[in-house]
Formats: sequence, structure tokens, C-alpha cells
Amino acid sequence: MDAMRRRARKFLGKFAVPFALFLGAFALQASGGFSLVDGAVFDQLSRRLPASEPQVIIIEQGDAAPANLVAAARASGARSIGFLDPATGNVPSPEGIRVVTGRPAFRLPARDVWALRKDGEGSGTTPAAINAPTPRNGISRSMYAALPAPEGAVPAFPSALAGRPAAAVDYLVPLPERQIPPRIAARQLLDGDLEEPALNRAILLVATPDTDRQQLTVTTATGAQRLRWTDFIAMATQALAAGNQVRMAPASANGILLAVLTIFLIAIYRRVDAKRLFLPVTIGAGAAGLLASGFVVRAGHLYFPPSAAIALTVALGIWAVLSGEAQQEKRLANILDGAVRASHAQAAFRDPAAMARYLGASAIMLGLPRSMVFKRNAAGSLELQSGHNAGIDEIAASPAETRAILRDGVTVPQRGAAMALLPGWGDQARLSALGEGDDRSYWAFALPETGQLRRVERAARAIALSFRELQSWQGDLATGGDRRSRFQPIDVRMASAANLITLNGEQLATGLDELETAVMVYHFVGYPVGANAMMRRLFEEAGLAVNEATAEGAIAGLTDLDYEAVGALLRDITLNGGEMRVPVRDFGTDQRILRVAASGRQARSADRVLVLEAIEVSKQRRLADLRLAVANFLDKQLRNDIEAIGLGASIASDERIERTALTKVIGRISDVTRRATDRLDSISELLSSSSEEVAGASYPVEARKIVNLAVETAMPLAEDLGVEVRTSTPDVSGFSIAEPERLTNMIAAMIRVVTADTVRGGAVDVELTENEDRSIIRVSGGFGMDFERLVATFDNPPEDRADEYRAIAEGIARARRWQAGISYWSALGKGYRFNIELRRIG
Amino acid sequence: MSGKRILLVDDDDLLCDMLATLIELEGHSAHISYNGADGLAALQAEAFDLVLLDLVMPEMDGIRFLRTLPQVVADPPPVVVLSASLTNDLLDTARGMNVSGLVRKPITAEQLREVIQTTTGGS
Repeated sequence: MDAMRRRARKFLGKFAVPFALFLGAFALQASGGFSLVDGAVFDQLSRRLPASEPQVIIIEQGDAAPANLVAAARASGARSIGFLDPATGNVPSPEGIRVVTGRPAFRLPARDVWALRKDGEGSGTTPAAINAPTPRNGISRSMYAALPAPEGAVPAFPSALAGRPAAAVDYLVPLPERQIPPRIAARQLLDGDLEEPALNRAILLVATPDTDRQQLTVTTATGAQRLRWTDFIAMATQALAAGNQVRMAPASANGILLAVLTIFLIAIYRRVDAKRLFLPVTIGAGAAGLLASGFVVRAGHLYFPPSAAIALTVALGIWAVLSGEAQQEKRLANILDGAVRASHAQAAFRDPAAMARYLGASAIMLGLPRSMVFKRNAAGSLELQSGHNAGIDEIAASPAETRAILRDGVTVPQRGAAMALLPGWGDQARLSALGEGDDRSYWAFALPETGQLRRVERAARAIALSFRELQSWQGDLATGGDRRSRFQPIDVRMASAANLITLNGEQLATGLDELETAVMVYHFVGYPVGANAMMRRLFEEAGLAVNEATAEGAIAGLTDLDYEAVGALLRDITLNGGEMRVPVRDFGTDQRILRVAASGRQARSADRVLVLEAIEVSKQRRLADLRLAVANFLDKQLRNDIEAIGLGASIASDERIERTALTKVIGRISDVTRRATDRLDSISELLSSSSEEVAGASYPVEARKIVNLAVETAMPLAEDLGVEVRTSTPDVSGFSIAEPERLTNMIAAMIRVVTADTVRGGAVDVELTENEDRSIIRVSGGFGMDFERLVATFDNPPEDRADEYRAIAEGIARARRWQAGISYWSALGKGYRFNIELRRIG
Repeated sequence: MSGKRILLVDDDDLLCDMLATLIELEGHSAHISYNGADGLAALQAEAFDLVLLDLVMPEMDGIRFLRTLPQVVADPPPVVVLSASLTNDLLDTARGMNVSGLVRKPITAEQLREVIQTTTGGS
């Protein structure tokens, strides 16, 4: 039922206005609302009509007797002769010619019928009405064919003269520019000074100075044009005789025409963009209407006035544009509403009370000693929305003063207004409006007496302004149906929505940028939607363009997977959802896992996204390395200690042992136990480290493994430069204290520095030796440079080796924490020597 | 059983003391070297019936000791490796160097007696 009602409402919404416009146009036309324009149009059309064969000749009577003129006319073969001047008196009417005499008609009292004034008609003559037609808008262009009479009709003069049946209808008199009624003097007729065929079957209209003096205004289209009454009658008679008088189209035909036009235009505007095609359609329809109207006048002697059709075309076009705009606005408003709802799903945005609570929490966070958010309720009294060490009863101003203070609008936190409202709060009080309109809230707060006063005030001001903006935008977007929102222009609402969405987007982007995880979102079709700062940096390191790389290209660029494998991975995720994890190629020293995840299959197609998340695993790996190293250290060291304790216990329980030796063994057991305890104590802190604390931690490492890893890292450069790296390390290494990653980087950097200064075919020596309490790593070789220059190079390294010198300098700075010593030496032509002495603990 | 001369090569002085005491309790004599280089020197200086060798040591580690041993002693005594660092790689390396036994620490007194007995052929 609801659906039917909706459909009916939709149908009415779609067709009610066009129907009303049609009715309006039809009614206006019928009531003569368009007569001025339609008359002018007809005048233009009329002027351009072709001239017809002249059948009417005007005879200037002069002093000729009417009877002589009748006789001469009969003799010349004319078919009728008419005396327009009512003063013409009695005229004979011989056989063979129709004689028409003009007589004024008068309306019979209280009746809409007419009668001719009888004024001595001769027998056989045809009296006819010569009343001038009623001009429309001051213009005479129509003529009546007859006037209604008590019995039948009184013929109009042209009708009688042309011999047309007299029906009481009007017709339009065409006035073609080329149709000029011929005019001769009566003497020519009487003298027979004419060629006979010229008057054969002609209609003669006798004019007198009186009839010529009388004039009508026949058009204003080409400037006011006056026409003699005689000429007008001649043209009307000519039209009737030639059969090209023009009839007005009946109202029903006009109505049908307008209805068809309405339907046609509705159909057109349903298919095209009204805004773009309004002008072409209107101009085209108007021109077509004029042309069609002209054609029908010429061919069918029927006049369809085009103004109503043109006006209807314009009106329907405007309606189509406006309704299109309205629909567009409605669609936009729905989209905006959805977008704002999606971007600000939090209840706080839509709930002013919740916003006030958030503001109260912000005040506490800022350390404001007093704060309250209040508003004026419907009854006009103030209502507390949230308060912190404050209440409405603290407002000391009178109600009138309060109204005045609040009415003035406090756009930024102000001291004066606050002090006037809350004098008890002292000069640190501030007051700010949080929105616009009568229902806005106000925030009163007091700044702390001490501390970072200016910063707190700036922060509070920023919060107040931010709330004002949010409230304002929210007000613009309110869809509660209140008058303000209903009449709010769409561009204002759009601007507010765009501001809110932009703000939301910027906040999200800022938040995403603060993540320690690199995140990139792709649309499911593969184009990039957005990336946070960390992912943008990672893309840069991988040589990928954030705005251009496809999901496939990004995964292939970030991992060691080839395109075929990436395609299979994406296909699987697309079809089945879920996620996959792939190790990211090494960029710098960080290690990451790339998590490729897709939104669920139930998500709308437009919402489906693909997320790339590069999860930093270096810290976890470092923690795992640390724990493995510590466990390894404990395993090996405690095995010695446990063995010593076990053997000691065996010895102590052996009956053969002497007392003095027993004492010594027990002392040794005690020493070993203490040593084991010390070892456990020394690593207990490391074992409880979190992944955050492990960064920069030093712990027992096998120096041999570190040296070998560093050599492996530096080997590509050595191979490029044709330099041999000679390594000498023990086969088995003890435990030394260091940060493994930093130590590895430093040794590798040292090897690269020396390698870069070694001739092709030369060698770099890397040596590890271990003594009881020190592990010594030496890197030597190269051509060398002055020692002072080497020292200076650490401060100002060459561009191509800057990373290496930085790694060495950082290693030197950090080595103190491991109780390690690092020294370097260099001399021109004698090469470099870097020494790292690590503390060896077992 | 006649006493055997046993060379202990290990950098852990406390452990060496215990091992030496136990060895002597069993009627053998023990000589301690705290790294591989000292151990080789001791072998060059006098004859031993057995070497108990640790792998992880400063100056010269156990693997290098094993590599060098044939070069400095013509008829070296059997060597038993006692180590907490017996990885698969080290085991493979040591096996290729005529090692008589590989024992992962910690070793018990009983195991030590058995090792000495089996490698020196004593009763």
C-alpha cells in the first residue's frame, strides 16, 4: 500500500507541474492573455503572404451619381458593387449585378442581436453592416462575417459584397504587403475608359471622401500603420472573394496542440539533460512553432497562435531544469548525508550533549580549574550541560545582563564577557560561544593561575574554535527538517559537508601517519586509495610511486615475489578473502612482514578494498635474537658451571678425599655457584626486556658470527672493486658483549671504507682474536690517508661514503655502553687500521 | 691400574680444578692448560696418555688445536672433546680430526671415569 502511495506521489510529482503549466498556458491563451503577441505574430505572417488575384476595385465616387455607377458597373461586367458610405441614399438594383449598400447596425436593447438602420434602400439592393470591427489591443486585424440578428444574421459589408454566406463568425484579414487594392476614379467607369476584361466579374467598392477619411490601425509590428477604412474593407472583401481569409484555430484544437507539446517536451526532457539542452530545445521548439504556424496560415488559412506554445515550452524547460536541479540537490544531499554519516559515525557529532561532555573532558585534560558548558533552554533559563568545579548558580549577572552578554555573541574566548557573567571566577575567566543560532551552547572556563598559562589559553581557544566550526557545519547539515536546513542552499551544505569530510579525512590521515606500521589501501580494482607516511617512505625506498603503483606492482616491488606469484596471491585473496603475509625485501636495517588483506566478501563491491600493511618485525626479531643469544650463553656457561658443581659434589662425597682437599673442593663449589648466580643475575634484566627496550641493548654475542656477517655484508662492494677480503677468525668463538646489529654495521662500514681505498687486486684484512677477557677485531688495509684527515672525515665525510662514516661514528659512540674500546689509525701510503676491543665474558 | 697422564685443555679454571681433583682421586695425574697454545706446548714438552679438550678458549680454540696437533706432535695421544658448544658443524669438523670421543657438557664423574678407561685402555 505504501509502495502504491509512493508511486502515486512520485507520479504526481513528475506530472502535476507539467499538467498545471499546460492548463495555465491553455487558460491564458483562451482568455486572450497572449493576444498582443499572437496578433503581432499574425501581422508578421500576414505581411509575408503572397498576393492573390485582385478581385476588388475601389471606385472613388467623386460627384458621380450612384445610379450611374451601378449602370456603368453592370455594363462593364462587374459582379457586384458596394456603396460603403451610409450617406449614399437610394440606389437602384438592376438585374445582373449585386448592389450592396452599407448601413450602420445597432444592437437591439437588452439583446445580443443586431439590426440595420433602414435608410431608404432601393428594392433589390443588399444592405450590409459597416460597423468597424472591434480592435484587439488597439489593432484591427479581424473582421466579422455577419452580426447576429433576430432572424438569422445581418451580413457584414465585405461578406455581402463578396457574395459569401453570412455566418456570425470572425476571421482575420490578411494584409499582404504586395496586395494593394486597385483604385480608379468614377469618371473612368462612367466613361468606359477601361478595357472590358478589367472589370469582368470584378467587385467594385465605391469610396467617398468620408470613407477614405476614416482610418484603422492595422499593425504595430512595423511601426504603427494606418489603413483607410475603404482599403480595409477592400482587403477583407478580396480575402473573402479569394477564399484566403484566415480563421482562428478553435480553442479545442489549440488545447490538443498544447497537450501534445507538453507530452512531447516531457518525453524530451526525460531523455536529455535539461540544463544543457534548455536553450536549444526552447529555441528549436519556438522556431518550429512559428514556421508551422506560418505554413498553416498560408496553406490552410488557419491560425494557430504560437505564443502559448512557446511560453509553455519555456515554462516546461524551466521546470525541467529546476526539477532536475532539485533532484540533483536531493541526490547530493543524500550522498552528503551518507558521506558525513560514514565519516562521522560517532554519536558525539550528532549529539550536542555528548559534545559538551567531550568538551568537559578536554577542560580537565588541559588542567583548567573550572569549566562549564551551558545553554539556554526553551523556557529561557540557563541549563548546565557539563561542569567541572562549576555550576550555573555561580552566574552572578542578572537575567537581563546575561541575555545581553550572551546575545552579543562571544566568538572567541573573551575575558570581559566572562568576568561580567562570572565575577567570582576572577580575571582568568573566559567565555566562548560554541556555535551559532539561538540554541548554541557556551563554554565558560577559568585558566590556571600558574603553569603554562599562555599555552593552556591557546589550546583552549583552539578547542573552542574547533567546536564552533563543528557545530556550524553540523547545523548546516542538520536533516531534522527544520526550516533553516530546508532552505539552506545546497552549496552551503556541500561546503559544510566537504569541510567535515576533509577534517575527518585529515584527522584520519594524521592518525594513520602516526602509526608505526606502514599502511596502504587499494581499491579492489587495484588503484591506490591512500597511504600513510611510513608506507610512502617505504615506497620511496623501493622506488615505487605511491600514486601510480598498482597493488600487484607494489607487492612485487616490496617483496621477492615475482609477478606470477603476486597474481596468484591476489587472485586467492580476491576470491576467498582473508590475508597473507610475505616477507618484505630488506630496506635499510629494518625487517618487515607485508600483510596483504582484503575486506570480506560480504562487503559492498564499492567498499571492497585491499590493504597492504608492512609490519615492522625488526624489534621482535631483535628481541628474539637477544633471547636466543642469552639462552645460548646460559646453556653453554651453565653447562660448565653445572658440570663443575656436579663433579665437586662427586668429589666431596668420595671417601678417598682428604679433609684439606675437601675443604678446597667445597670452596670451589661455592665459587662456581656464585659465578653461576652472577651470570643469571647479569642476564635476568635482558630476559625481561620488552621489544621496545631491546633496541640498543647489548648482550653476549659470538664475535665470530658478527665478523662473518659483516664481511658478507661488505662483500658486494669488494667484489665490485676487485678487492679480496681476507678473514681470520677462530673456528669457535666465545661470548663478547655488544649490540650485534650496530657492531655488524660498524664492522661492515669499516671494511667498506678500507675497501674503497684499496687498489684493484689488493686485500683488506679482517681479523678476530680472542683472549681471556677481550675479543679484538681488526680491519686493516687500503692506501690510507693522514690521520688528521681521517679524523676530520668523520665530521665531514665524502658524499659516497657518508653512510659508512656515520655508522662507524655511531658505533664508536655506542661502544662505551658495551665497555668496548674502538681505535683507528691511518697514514698516507700505509693504510688504515680499525681496532675494536670487546669485553669477552666466556 | 697404573696411573695415566692426562692433559686438561680448558679455559675454565674452576672446572679444571674439579676435573683435575677427580682425575687424581682415580689415581691418574692431571696437567692443566688454559688454552690451546699452552696445551700444544705441554704436549711438546711431555707425553700424555689422554687429552681432555674444550673447544671454546681464548688465544687458540679447540678446533685450531686439533688442526695443529698433528703438526707439532708426531704421535699424539687420544683426544676427547668435552664441550658445551657441540653443534652439528663442530661435531662434523671434530670427527674429521681423529678425535677419540665427543662428550657434551656437563659430564658426570662416572662418565669421566668411563671416558678415561675406554680411551686409555686402562682397567
